[in-house]
Amino acid sequence: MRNRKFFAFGLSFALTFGFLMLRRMQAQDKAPSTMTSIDPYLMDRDAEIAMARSAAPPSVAKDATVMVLGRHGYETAVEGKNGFVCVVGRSWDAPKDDPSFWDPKIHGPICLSAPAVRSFLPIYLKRTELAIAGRSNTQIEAAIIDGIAKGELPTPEPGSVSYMLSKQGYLNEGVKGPWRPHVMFFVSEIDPKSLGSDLGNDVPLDAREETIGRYTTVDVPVGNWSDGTPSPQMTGGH
Amino acid sequence: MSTNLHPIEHEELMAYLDGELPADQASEALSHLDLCAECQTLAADFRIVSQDLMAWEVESQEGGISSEIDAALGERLHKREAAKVSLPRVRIGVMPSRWGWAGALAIVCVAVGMTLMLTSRNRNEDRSTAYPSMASIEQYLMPDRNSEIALARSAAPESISRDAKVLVLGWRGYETAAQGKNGFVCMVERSWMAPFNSAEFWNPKVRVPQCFNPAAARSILPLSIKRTEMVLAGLSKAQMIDSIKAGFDNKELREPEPGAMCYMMSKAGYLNDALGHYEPHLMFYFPLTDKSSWGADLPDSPVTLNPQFQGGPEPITEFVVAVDKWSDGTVAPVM
Repeated sequence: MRNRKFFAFGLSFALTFGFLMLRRMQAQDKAPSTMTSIDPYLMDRDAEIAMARSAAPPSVAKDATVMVLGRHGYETAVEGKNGFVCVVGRSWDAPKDDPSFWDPKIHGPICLSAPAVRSFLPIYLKRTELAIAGRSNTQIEAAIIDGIAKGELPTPEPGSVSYMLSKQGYLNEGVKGPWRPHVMFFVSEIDPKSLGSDLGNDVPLDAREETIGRYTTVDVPVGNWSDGTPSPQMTGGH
Repeated sequence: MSTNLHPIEHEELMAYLDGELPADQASEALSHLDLCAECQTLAADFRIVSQDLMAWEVESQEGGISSEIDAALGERLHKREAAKVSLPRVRIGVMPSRWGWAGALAIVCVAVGMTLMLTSRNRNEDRSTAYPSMASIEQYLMPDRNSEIALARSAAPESISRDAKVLVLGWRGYETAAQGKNGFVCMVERSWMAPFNSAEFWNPKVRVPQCFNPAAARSILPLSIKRTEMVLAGLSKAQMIDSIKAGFDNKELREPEPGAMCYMMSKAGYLNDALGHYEPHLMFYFPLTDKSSWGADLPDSPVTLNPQFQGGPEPITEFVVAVDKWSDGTVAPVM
């Protein structure tokens, strides 16, 4: 009888310990703590300019500022004149627990409107600066939260919108590509359901709360890629 | 080389006022007209000319021909009759006909010109002044309440509209026909939600199904309610504009809340004579801003500006993003 009690206790302890170890290993697998090298994230400069511009219709992109990733952060490659800024986003824009947080395959071409340049781009550039400086995913996220709380980083201005119409992007492992061409705008924190998102598969938009940046993104798929070709019908969010 | 820096030529503007532009060009012209003071002045001038032409008539001689002229004409006629008798026939045929043919030709030219002008004038009258004033209220009402409820709900996908509140237009304004539980409000707007300078401001055929999200139900819907109340109260456009301005000044009306938007995905709507039911789309509302900040209305942009408000007088900007399906799930044709 006593042996059976010891056996049960030992089994319970082993299972609990094993489960905790497994969770820790899984967490470590999800997101390595820091960037190992900037090299895998760098692109040919002209290719990056072209990819960045492919995010928007030519009528927008041709007069936009283009920024490309260098060894010390983003730098202006082309000066624009319409207030838009086009960049190719990298993986560290994801939530800290996203398994692809350091995935060098991630390329998100995006052209931001002037209000978004003022109120969203600084957050992404800060993330990039911290990533290159060797901060961990957890530290990056904490710094963003702190920066917004202190008013050092902005929250979205009205009219903050972006174009993501490139068929060259690779947004994440889930879609393994560019998802659908879409217009994405940034709204101060708002419940996605109040926009109709998640109420049914027949709703033609996808909204998500970005609790770290204290805003909600609203994606509205559109009919054509930036090169004018029609996009295939797809369902689900990205 | 043209020095016109506007996206529409003067001839296109005239064609727009005459309702002769295709839908896409009409939309572009309307967008530009709403923002361009110079073109608004030009359009007003065109309309004045058109109205003057319509008002112009050949004055009738109510007092008859004066006695002096009458006497002179009588004397001349008498001489002509005498000449008919005294002059050889061939001379009668040659001398008067030279001046006569010239006069006749002039009369024909004037007559043809007048006919062409009046034809053109009547065409303008049929189109640009098709809806010069408010029709009887019955023409704006939908006789079947259930049809209006169904039309209102058709603005959004069923997963939204089935739990939305529905308003219908009655004799005294909009009234609640169905209570909702998800914060969305669906209704069928009428023509007076068009820009005040729209030629179709009083078009009784217009039916615009819309479902406002909660943020728009709080900050945009009150505009529809207010305009409707003023219309039914018989206010003039100038009075309505003044009242709306005052409403924003005294905070009775307010700027759009963040995230204010609406669904317009009904294939049964009738936006206006130029667009018909248009295409399924979403509309997003912002405090008044320039359309260039969104890249709207550029040739290949998927975003367009709806000139519904745009400071005239509501300080609100509406951006439109087309979607690919109607609310019933069927695929919309590419426009």
